[in-house]
Amino acid sequence: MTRTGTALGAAWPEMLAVAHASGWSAALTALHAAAGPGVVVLGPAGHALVPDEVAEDADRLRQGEWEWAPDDTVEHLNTGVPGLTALRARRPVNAVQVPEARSWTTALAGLRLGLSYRLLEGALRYLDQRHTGDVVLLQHSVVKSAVADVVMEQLQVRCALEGAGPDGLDAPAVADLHAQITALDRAGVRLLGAHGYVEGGPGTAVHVSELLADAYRAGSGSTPGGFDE
Amino acid sequence: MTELDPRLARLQAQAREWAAEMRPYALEVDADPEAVTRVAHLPALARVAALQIPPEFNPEPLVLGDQTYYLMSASERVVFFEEGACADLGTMLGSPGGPMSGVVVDALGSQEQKEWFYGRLLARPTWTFFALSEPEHGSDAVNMATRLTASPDPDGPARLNGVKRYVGNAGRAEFGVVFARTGPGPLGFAATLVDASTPGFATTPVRTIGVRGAGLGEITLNDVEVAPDRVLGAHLRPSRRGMAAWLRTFNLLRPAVAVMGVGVARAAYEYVLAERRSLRVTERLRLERMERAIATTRRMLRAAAAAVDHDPSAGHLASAAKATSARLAERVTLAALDFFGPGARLEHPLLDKLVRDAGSVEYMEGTSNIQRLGVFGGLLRGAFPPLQAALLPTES
Repeated sequence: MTRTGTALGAAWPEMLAVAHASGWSAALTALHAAAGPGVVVLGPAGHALVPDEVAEDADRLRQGEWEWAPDDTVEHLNTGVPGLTALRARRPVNAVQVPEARSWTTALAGLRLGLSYRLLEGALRYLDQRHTGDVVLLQHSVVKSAVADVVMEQLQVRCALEGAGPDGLDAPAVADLHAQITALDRAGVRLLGAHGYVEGGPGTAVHVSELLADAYRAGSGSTPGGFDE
Repeated sequence: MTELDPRLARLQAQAREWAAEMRPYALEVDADPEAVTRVAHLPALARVAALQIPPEFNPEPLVLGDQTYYLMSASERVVFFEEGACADLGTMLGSPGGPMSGVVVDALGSQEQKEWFYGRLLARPTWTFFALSEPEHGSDAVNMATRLTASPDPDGPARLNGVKRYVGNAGRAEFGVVFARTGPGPLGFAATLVDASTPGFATTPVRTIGVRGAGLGEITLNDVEVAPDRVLGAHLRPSRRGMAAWLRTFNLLRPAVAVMGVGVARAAYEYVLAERRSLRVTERLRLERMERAIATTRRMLRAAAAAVDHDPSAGHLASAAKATSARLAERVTLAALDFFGPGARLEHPLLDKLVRDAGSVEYMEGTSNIQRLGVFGGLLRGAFPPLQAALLPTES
């Protein structure tokens, strides 16, 4: 089947790089910009998560192949995360048909993986500075094991993304990938102890990453090995 | 659900009734942690604040029919706190009383210290703190930086200096227990009773992603005076008030912390049941798997509670149950989102809160990695014999 529209399947490396270097806000800005200037992309139920400035500057909302101008019907929902705006909108009858920003969720997976790398690097620095008993935490075999688990999971996600073409991964594959990222990030943030649970700390990026997966229905919220057989 | 004996079943029914009164305030407390003080009159908070006090100091235990409860055993606590955590973990953690510090006082305190501590708890709903974790060392007590320095005058006050972090109810507590080092070696530890009004004692809130009602905070101790009679266990031999004694105390607390994960998981499971009345076959099967996982973990931690009630040094099973429960809470709350489609976290604030609250179980009373070390140590000591009898033979 011939598909039209902007294919974002190849955009994941860029999203990964921006997220890794600069964090969620810059990466989200880049991801929405990839769909077109002034465009805010909505998930299947009409939700968007964007940096505050992107929400303010938006002049078009896009859901699938439909686009319309934001108006008073757009609701702002509280995310509890400073700098992150959640929008909720319903497609109006006067929406116009446009080329779809395809493979959004594949590009989003690249973004989330970049945040995941960033999280792990921070965790390694953290663990290298802390001790339990007389041993640096990072040198504890149980911590090494936990770190290795995260690294291996990241590698798997990376390999899956590298197998994606310009049209991105198909829906079941990308759903599994996002569930895998959620699981490995949970493992990663556990390395930080309670430090990872403090607002504004490294756990916030994991929280944002999960909210993105939820709003864009980029996979189930549950983790691999969860409750689906 | 795992069957309880009639005595614990009666306690569970009462706890469930009280806990249900907390639930309507869950989102209010999440938005404004100080709302906890406005619901402190609810029996789930006010009545419980006057429990967890040993019989010799508590003239008003909970009496249900012909049974009397003090909530002093781990087995009673896991039954009771599962209900509280299921209703709202944040509010429960923000409850007045001495759920953690009181256990230390019971284990190490003198008669006079217990009268002072429990007497204040009974006088009116009062919050306490349990200040162990530190910014640089987590709950690794061996490497604590907080120091208790003795006075040159044998009758003069010692002085506490250091910083404690992730302390529940830090800003609203009137007094509590601060752990510190007094010197090197396995005996160089002290647990002290500290009044928050003492000069040099200051708190700063630590905002967290979930369980905001817990009111976590940082406590700064700057030359805080501690009178000789406020050092817990001063009447005991050093070997009976040192690290080994602390570890036994933490073992007693761990099942009650672990059960919070079961409570949160059950809340998410029940949310799905209540909000999704019609389920597809695959969804029903998934929900059944979630229920089974909750029941299995509950059974494990009730066994862990029975083990530490029998022998407070037997904390290995509690460690396994704690790590398992933390993981359960994460898995079930995340899986619950799947039942509500895209944007579930934005459209279902209570479920979103449960997902956020679930994360806290990991960090209370030792992370899963620390618990794994405990499990591993127990394994080497032969604490998990492959051919042992049923973990919890009293249950059907």
